[in-house]
Amino acid sequence: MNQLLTWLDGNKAYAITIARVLTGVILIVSGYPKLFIKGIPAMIEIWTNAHLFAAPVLGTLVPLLEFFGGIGILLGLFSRLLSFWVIVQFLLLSVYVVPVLFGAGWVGGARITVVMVVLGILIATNGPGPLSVGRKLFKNLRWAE
Amino acid sequence: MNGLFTWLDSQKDSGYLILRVVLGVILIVAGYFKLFVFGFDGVAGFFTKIDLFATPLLAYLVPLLEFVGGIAILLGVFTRFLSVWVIMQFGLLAIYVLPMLMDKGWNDIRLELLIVALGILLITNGPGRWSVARKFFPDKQWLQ
Repeated sequence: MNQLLTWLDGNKAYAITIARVLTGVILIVSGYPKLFIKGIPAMIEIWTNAHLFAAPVLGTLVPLLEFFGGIGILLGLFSRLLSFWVIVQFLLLSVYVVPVLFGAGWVGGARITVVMVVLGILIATNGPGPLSVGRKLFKNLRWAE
Repeated sequence: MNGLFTWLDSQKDSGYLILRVVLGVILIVAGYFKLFVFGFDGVAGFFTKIDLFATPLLAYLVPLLEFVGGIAILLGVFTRFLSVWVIMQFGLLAIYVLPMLMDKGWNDIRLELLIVALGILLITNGPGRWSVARKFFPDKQWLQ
């Protein structure tokens, strides 16, 4: 039993890598249609009609940040800085957009956005883990991790 | 900037506490509805309807494990043992039950995949400093 626990302790950093890659994939898949299928003007219009505040700014920023930020998080490049944005965006979704604007509840609504906040916090506090492009390329620049 | 990262490094255990609370609440709410709203018969009926294997066994195990296991994960007791079950249950949901038995797509399996990732984080790291097991039984690793 102790050997198993020691092995698990020794591989805890790779769990962060798995979480980072999955978070990145989810963001990329979410950002891709906003950016390349609907397009930024349509996103601005959709969010203006949904009465989201600062729709022109968010309609531009969110698709770009989800797609390119997702690639950054997946690669482990600027992942800690990008995780601050993940925390803010998904916290806003969890406490305002999903329950108030969309009227969705816990199941099928805010559950997944709250989990994304948790993953953002874990990436921010743990860093990108092993196999990070930022750590490989910029060894001494912690903000590039 | 380095001061910020040093502070973040010192908050790893707080991150795992937040993970446990959120995962625990998700499981408790899911288990509560299965146990006290739908009941074992309702859950068994649903599992039979979607043609799930070992329905009688799973209809009892899943609600109990979700509710009681969720409380234990929230408190930080037996979290590593319970993570094995979390990874298995939600992995099975993501790769078999939702896509094959219920014909669901990517948007519907995202949460299950994320919960598998949370399970992997919990099994490798343990519950963190702010847990009942580490506070009251620091020498008993298997209890963490």
